[in-house]
Amino acid sequence: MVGGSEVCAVMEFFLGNHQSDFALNFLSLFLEGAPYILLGTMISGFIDVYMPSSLMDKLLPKNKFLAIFSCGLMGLILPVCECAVVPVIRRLLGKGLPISCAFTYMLAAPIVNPITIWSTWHAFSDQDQWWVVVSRIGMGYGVAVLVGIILLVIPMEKVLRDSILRTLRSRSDIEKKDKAKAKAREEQGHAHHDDEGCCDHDHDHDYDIGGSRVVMAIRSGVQDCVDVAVYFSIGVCLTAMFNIWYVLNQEVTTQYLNSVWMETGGMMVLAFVLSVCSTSDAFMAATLRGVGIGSKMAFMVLGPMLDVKLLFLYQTVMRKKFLFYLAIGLFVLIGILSVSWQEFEPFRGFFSSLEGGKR
Amino acid sequence: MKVFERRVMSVVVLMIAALLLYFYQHEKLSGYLKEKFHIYVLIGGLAALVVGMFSFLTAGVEGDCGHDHGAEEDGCDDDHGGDMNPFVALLIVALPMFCSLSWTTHGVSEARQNALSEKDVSSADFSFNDLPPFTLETLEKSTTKAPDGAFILNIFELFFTAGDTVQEKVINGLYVETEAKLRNEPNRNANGNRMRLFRLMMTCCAADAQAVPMTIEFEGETPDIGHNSWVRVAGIMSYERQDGVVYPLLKVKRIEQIQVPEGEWSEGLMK
Repeated sequence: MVGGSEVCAVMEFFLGNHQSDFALNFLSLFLEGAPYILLGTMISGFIDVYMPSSLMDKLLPKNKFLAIFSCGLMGLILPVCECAVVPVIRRLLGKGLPISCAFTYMLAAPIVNPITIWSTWHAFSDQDQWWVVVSRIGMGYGVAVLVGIILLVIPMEKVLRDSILRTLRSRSDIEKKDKAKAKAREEQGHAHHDDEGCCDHDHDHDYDIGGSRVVMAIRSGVQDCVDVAVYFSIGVCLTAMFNIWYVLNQEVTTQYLNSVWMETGGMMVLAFVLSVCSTSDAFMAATLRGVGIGSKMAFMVLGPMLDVKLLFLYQTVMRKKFLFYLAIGLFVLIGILSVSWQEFEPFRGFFSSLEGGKR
Repeated sequence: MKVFERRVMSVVVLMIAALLLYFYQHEKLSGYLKEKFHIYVLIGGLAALVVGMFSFLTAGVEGDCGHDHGAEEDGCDDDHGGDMNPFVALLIVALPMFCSLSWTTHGVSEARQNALSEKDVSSADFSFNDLPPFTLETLEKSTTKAPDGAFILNIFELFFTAGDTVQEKVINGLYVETEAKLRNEPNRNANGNRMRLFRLMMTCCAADAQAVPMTIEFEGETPDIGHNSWVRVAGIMSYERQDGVVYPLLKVKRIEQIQVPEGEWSEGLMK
């Protein structure tokens, strides 16, 4: 058994003289992200216990495409950042949210939510803010919806990890049992939805809304929190190490950023490495005025969908092979869209004219 | 065993609560996060404490998830449980946390500060929204002056005037004083009589720190002040244009080595 001190010694060896910078990066990222992780996992715990499985069927449009389009906007009602959204969708999947809708919500919610919209608006107050805000929402929403549509044709066995699939199957069996029991009760005249009073024998616990369900909700949230905290810790460790490497080598890396494509790619790598929270990444992008608007857009759209810590958080839901393809796909798609968007001057001119009156 | 495992998981949450609350009451939190995030650290810490304690104390209570698992099953836990062994989870979360707590100096290392300040940046690489427009009159009213008449301005204010033609006109030729770290000037230093001032700027957290630099020029040789020392410099502000980029330039009249300024986050809020 390897002790903690031995592992610490191994980390010291790999980090060389950079332990204090690793510690500063790790703690700052952990302190920034942990409250949101906790929020997300507590929401997920209560969804798990209190949200009826049938609710998703009732709320979502029957048309698959309309359902995906709707889920892309769910962040406006349930606003969560990228760290908090992962545990939430784990539970929503268990509640019958189709995988295409869940992934659309997961990718869109950190961008299409009031907090991120406000921070982007505020950060770009002197730089075509209408254009930037609309572009960010539009691109984030579009990419998320596209991923959702693609997922309609991919079997979920190829997307979700085994533990999630087992949960879904187990839930499905339980629901069948619940329905069968409810039907049997109705046939015996003991339906609980009528107001005719109660019978004199013991009821099944699924209609008992007592304190024990709060215990179960908190317990479920704590389990999610621990699962996610593990992947979050590993992700933050790697982010902290990448960050040290990037700063020490930024002169070498920036000299290759001499074209719009390379600059956009560079900004996406920066978003991936820095793992800044989506609620505040606009402030960082806004300070980099020497960078093109397309590259900033790539930074602000890719970052909330994919970064080092998310790569690990996503592993609580997805298979590694699918995650690899998703990461490559997002990188290429957002890169192409961002560069094209930068060149789309007529639309930008329209938004600039909106701001003209204000100046 | 299940109750014990639940308690171990609660301990993981309590550990996160302890870290958040420890840093919230710690004066050096500003060295890790911008002030706007501090309230989330407090709320997150308190919430984690309540949830962790509740979970720990109710670990033995049988929960009710709201649906029927049937008589043959063991209750709700199997279906709702995570896929992580709680002891492994505890180790993975605790290890980097404790290593970081033992390694941190609450500041940015000299090596990292050197690497960050090496890059030649101009104000055009940034956008700084918080700098209000000013005139010489407003500057006279709002700025403290040194005994010899120098306007005391921070390096960020001086740096971000470059490229703004209106503010450049106000500042150009003005006698100003500022405090920053001193290092060699790696670029635009043909005569060897220039050095560089810099200070680190944080956007959200310490991991995204960037250096804001400014070149200073001496009439004679550069002074014998140690690399990475904090200095107070006064001189005449000017600007130079190279390849379409505007760089601020301070022509030094006096320079002295000083202690690390109080509350400087990059040095672990020393002194």
